[in-house]
Amino acid sequence: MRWMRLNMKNQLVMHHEKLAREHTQKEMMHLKTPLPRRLNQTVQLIKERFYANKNADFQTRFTSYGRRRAYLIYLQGTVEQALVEHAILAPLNHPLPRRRRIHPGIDARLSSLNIKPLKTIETVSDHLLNGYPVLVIDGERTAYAFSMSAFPSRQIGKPDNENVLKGPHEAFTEDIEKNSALIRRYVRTPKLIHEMHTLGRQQKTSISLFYIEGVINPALVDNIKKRLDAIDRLDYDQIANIEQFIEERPYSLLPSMLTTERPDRVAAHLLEGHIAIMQDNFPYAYIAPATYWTLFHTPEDHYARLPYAWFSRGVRTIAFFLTLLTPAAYVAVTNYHLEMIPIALLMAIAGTREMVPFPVILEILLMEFSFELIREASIRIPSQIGPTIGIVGAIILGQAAVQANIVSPIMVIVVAITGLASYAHPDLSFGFAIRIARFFFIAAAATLGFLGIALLLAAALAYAVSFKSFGVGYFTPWAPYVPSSHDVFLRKPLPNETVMPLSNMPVQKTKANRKRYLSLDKSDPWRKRRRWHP
Amino acid sequence: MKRTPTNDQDLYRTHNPSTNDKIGFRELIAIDFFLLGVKGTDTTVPFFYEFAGNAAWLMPLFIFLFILPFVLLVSRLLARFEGKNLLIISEHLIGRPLTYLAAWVLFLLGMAATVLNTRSYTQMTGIMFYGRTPLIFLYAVILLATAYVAYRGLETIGRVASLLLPYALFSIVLAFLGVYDIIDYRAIFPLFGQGWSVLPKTVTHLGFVVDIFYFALFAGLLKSGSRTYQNATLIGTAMAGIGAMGLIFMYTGVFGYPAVNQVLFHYQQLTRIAHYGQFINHIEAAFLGTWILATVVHFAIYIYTMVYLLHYLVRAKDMFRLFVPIVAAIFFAGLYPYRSEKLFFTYREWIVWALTATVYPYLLLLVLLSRTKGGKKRARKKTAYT
Repeated sequence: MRWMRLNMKNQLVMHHEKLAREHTQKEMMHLKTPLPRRLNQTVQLIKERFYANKNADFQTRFTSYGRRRAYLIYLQGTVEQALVEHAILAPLNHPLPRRRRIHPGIDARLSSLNIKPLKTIETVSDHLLNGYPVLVIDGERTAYAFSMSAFPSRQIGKPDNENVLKGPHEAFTEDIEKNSALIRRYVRTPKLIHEMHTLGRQQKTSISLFYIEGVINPALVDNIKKRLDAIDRLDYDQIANIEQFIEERPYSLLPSMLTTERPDRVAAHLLEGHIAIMQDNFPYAYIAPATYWTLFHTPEDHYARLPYAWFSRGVRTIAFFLTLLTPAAYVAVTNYHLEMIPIALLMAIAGTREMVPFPVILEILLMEFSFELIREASIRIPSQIGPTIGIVGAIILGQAAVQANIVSPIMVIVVAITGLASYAHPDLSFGFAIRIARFFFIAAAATLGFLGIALLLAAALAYAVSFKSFGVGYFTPWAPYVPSSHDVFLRKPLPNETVMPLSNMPVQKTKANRKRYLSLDKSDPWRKRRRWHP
Repeated sequence: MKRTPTNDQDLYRTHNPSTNDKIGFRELIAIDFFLLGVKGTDTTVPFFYEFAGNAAWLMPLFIFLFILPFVLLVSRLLARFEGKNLLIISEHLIGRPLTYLAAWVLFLLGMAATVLNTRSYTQMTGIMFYGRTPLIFLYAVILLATAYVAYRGLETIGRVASLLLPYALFSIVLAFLGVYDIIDYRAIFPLFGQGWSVLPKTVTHLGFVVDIFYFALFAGLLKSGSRTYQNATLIGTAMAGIGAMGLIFMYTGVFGYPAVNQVLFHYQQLTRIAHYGQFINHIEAAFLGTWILATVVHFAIYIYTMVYLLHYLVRAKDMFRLFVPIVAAIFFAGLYPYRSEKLFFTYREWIVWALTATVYPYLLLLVLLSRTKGGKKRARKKTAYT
């Protein structure tokens, strides 16, 4: 066996060495493929690279540049066709007055366009892929790319998953430039930095980092850049989702980043010393570090007035415990702690369960599974028959299951309450975490009743409070206590939220000049009456 | 050894409030509450009734008054050697061999107390709620959950405690609301029970609250050092004392005085009686939940302390590898079959005597020696609050 292992190890080592060799060769090629002087050779090279004989999108248009031959190359659909005709081909084909001896440079000829000179085949290919038409001229070792990409993209729409009743109704799209502009609209400061990194071997994905210089802790930015560096070294074919490459604990139920599709939410977090990570072709921003509180809050908590926000948060807190513990508590009570149920209710439950042949745990697993099935199916189902699934799933299935004595009616109520409460969580990832965790609680309750639930709760709490997202504890600034604006369970009136959450270790420690505000406040006769403290 | 941060990354690690592996004022208050307050619900209560009769509810107050000077002395000792753990101070003052001896004594007595207490809590749970479940299984499950919480580290225990503290206080208030209409307030008279004879017994049984002095072992891990230790210990102990006083007062009032001696598990029986209107009664299982959470925190600190002491004694490189042997030892020692369950009280009393006879003289010795041997004289005034 030992020799086999050695042999395998050798093979693996050799494989890695081969990969490394290829990589260095490619890098050298990348550095050392200048454009040839002859037009035919250049076009041939580009055509080979794009398999032009098979590739319908690859377009070459013959034109001239003065007396020299030239080709305009582009990928159909990625550029704006009319603009190419008007702005490039028409001026190039327009004959020059004969008297002019000196041929004007390309910059002068097409001066209204944003022109990039390109020196190597690789850059030409990258620009073609990014939707730049490229002009190749005979006798020149430089090609010219024009910025007129027109990838089809969606218009900015309403948020799908993070609706608010009061507040902005804009969501990110797949186009990173639009998203960047959206963020800039909400954070109009020169300190907002948008850093772009390109990762991926086959598919180059641009990863954008947004942060506010002078607010954010520079070490956090360094840390994230290091992680991006590590991904770069991994040389992965395609970075489908940056979140899963960058997070610390991929197997953990708890998300370490906040996912949002709302630019206003990104802006609010940037101003509190978070960093936002976005990626091209992905209409969500990831905000790091995330804590339990950021996942529990919604943007509406700050748009709505204080008492309404408190009420809303209270409802959500109750919903959290309902989702996590209702089925487990039902199992525990009916199996272990029957004395807790008032006698009349106990008789009612016993009456409904009289004809049901299954134990409670089987019944609840059955119903919870069907509910999860409905939820999963309703996401995938074509939208024309979407409403049907609700009717089939909720009404017919539930009703029929009760009438067939497979489950008891009270079980349907328990599962319905749990399901309803699980929709109250604003964050998708955290909602998943709770939904999965509740099955563990059901198992604990079935094993040891409330003792099991309490033990699991203690262990889960210990795990959650020691969980760290980018070095920041999950329950900060509450446990451990760190100075902040106490925007945790409840929140303060907006003018009183003046301290940054210092758990993020921002450079800037306060959000406002409270002293100055209070001095104004004193001179205002209308506000004076309301103040309790001098 | 104090590290000076050199670059941003280092700053991020050392000055990060989430990761500096220290516990602060709030955490220590909560830990002290869970260390001592839970004793108002367990087998410590029968001892109080034995010593003081119907004045048992005043016992926490007496004990608090007796340990008050010790807390002040120990925190002064810690202030003289700011940022140092008790064992390091001890090495400095009485030398390494004697410190080793003291640590062995602390460790063995602590282990014995942990074994007895975990066993008794499991029995309480088993007898009152899970009559048909094998006790071994219950014991294993409770120890596993506790060990997991302890394994996450002192910082985690502190945070869990500080998050659970409001719920624990609320459950005591809830228990009072459940029984306030059946409390017979006359049962607490005569106010001082059997009179002066209670005081010597209190002194000999100060070992009941020796836990807070075990916590001086981690003095180096406290934000703002000895100041935190002193204030948080006083406040936490006072809170726990008030909580325990309230609970024992309720036991006396609800069960009546001589009758209360016949009750075995006071807290569980009390929550069984608690009722809210005509509809909600018998919700002792809900109290079981909060009580188990408190228990887990309580024993998590015990186990962590034991692991820490063993780590010091055997000079292990990695402290966290010692969790398995410690928890296994507690588990198997807890399975030891007694001839009679009454012996439990005898053993417990022996251990409490032993703790009283060793820990307090040891601390006094250290305090006395610190006055002559080294240390900063006026260090305490410079330290700030958390």
